[in-house]
Amino acid sequence: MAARVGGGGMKQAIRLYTTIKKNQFILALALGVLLAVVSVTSNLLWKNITMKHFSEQFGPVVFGIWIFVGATSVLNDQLKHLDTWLFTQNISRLQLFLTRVILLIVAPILISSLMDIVLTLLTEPKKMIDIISSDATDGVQFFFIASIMAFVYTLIGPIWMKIAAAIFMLVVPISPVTQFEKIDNIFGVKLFEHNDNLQILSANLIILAGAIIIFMIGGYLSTKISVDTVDEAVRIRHLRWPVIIFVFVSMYLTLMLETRSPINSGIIFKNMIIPAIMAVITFAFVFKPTFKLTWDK
Amino acid sequence: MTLVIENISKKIQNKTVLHNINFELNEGEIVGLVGRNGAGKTTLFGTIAGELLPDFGRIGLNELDYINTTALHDQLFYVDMPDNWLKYYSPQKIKEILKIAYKDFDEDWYDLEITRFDLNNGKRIRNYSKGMRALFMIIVSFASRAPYILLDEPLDGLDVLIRDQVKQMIVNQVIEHNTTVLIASHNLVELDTLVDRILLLKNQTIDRTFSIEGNKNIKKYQLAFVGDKLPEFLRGSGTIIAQTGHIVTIVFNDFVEAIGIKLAGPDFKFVEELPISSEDIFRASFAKEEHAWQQELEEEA
Repeated sequence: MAARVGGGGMKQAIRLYTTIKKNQFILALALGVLLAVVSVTSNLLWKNITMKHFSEQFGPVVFGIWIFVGATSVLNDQLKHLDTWLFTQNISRLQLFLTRVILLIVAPILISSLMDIVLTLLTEPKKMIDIISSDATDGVQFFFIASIMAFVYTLIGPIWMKIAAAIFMLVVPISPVTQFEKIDNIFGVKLFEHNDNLQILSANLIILAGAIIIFMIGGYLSTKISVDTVDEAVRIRHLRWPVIIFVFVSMYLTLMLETRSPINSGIIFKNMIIPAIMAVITFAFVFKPTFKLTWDK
Repeated sequence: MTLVIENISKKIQNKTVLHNINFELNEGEIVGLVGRNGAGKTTLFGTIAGELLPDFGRIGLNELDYINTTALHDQLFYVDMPDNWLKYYSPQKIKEILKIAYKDFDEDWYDLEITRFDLNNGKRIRNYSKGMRALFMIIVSFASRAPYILLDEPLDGLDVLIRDQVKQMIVNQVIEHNTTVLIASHNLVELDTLVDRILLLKNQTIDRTFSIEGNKNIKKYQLAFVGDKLPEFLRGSGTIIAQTGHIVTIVFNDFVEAIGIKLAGPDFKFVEELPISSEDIFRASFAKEEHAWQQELEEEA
């Protein structure tokens, strides 16, 4: 029985989810092929004049679109109560989580990068190494962003809150991470001086490892999710306060990092105002406090 | 094979909805689940099916842990009503999905029933009428060929003719495939003719399990009393279902010899025992609540 729960269950989860999403996958693939045609045509017709940038960015553009479509599709699953039914199926919550990661995140990155490589090989073979390097860097960054999104989608209940939290995460804590193209940017020290490739590779490996850890946490949380918490802002009770603290701290750190003027007590205090407001708003949605106003004695 | 529900407890938003729920479902049984609105019937179904995680307790299929052994989950079919994913798809697409989900999905029977009831195979379920949707739910549930099927208010919205066909279909499928069906319903009259026994969900737990044959101490009487005032002992020992002048229909929750002696006394000029139904047993079980509610209404008036 245990063997079926493991490998067999994962295969079943992928089969089931692929069958449900077949039409969306076909549409997404058609969109990717259409973009490939546009890219190749522009390359052949207007080589070195226009659209050059577009053709170089083909892979990241396609997997960016596909991941966005995938994220929307997951929200749609909740709207249609498909999640609710999938929880009753002969697949575990973790297997469902992993299936979504594989089909909606990993597969788009790999397939579009492969398409990009094939197209480059056919049109501009000399740029092959550059394209592989650019796809790998962008792929890792998208993988990292997707890991945060998966975490948010798992932890937050209502759909509009998922979207709001995803936007907050993109704007506040994620954007600085995606600027780390070289390892020097992460640690602020010269680790691999005069070796750009090694620096980029190291930075990507660290971001990749971070993404995998976040996915692992998201996967673990998915096993604790019950349908009755779908209207709760934070679906795991023990994480309600940590979420509020995170909103405050991440917002505050972002503001402090963006401050150009010399830091003094005024700046420190002023930068606390917006994070405090955000934390209070988060608190209101998480704990839903009710205030009773009455004039009765 | 037996589905065992053992000490299941569940809190939702700090409120206990289910508390120490215990019962078993045996092969080939049709069991009714009744309770007042908000009693937790849907929560119980969701917990058994795996949508909700119980706070405490065990759901087992024989000796196996049903909740944690996901490979067993194709042994049970349940779709939350009325909002569920099925309505966004056509019967054709649903078949394609359920063939993967349930290894024994009966494609031929499914197609046959879809045609027999003239359900449009290419039309999305949300475009069906309420009755057609309910009918489709029954078809899809039994086509799964899962040994356990949970049906939440399956006869809701069906006209009399379709209802009879659906009831017949449920009975036929249970006989042919030895399926076990747990039906949550408010319609106790319908349950009477369909189920082997009824589980009463009250005060967050299974208050009692009853079958009409097995409840010899619950009795229903129609009687005519002498004088202007209803004999006081009647209110204390039974639930008055109807009263027109001196004629009273009453259900005694726990009929003892002493009540029989009083009924045979001079206070009554006419006494007749009536056949008991599930609805009567349900009323008798909520006698205290009903009495309090009636008093409240009387005070308001």
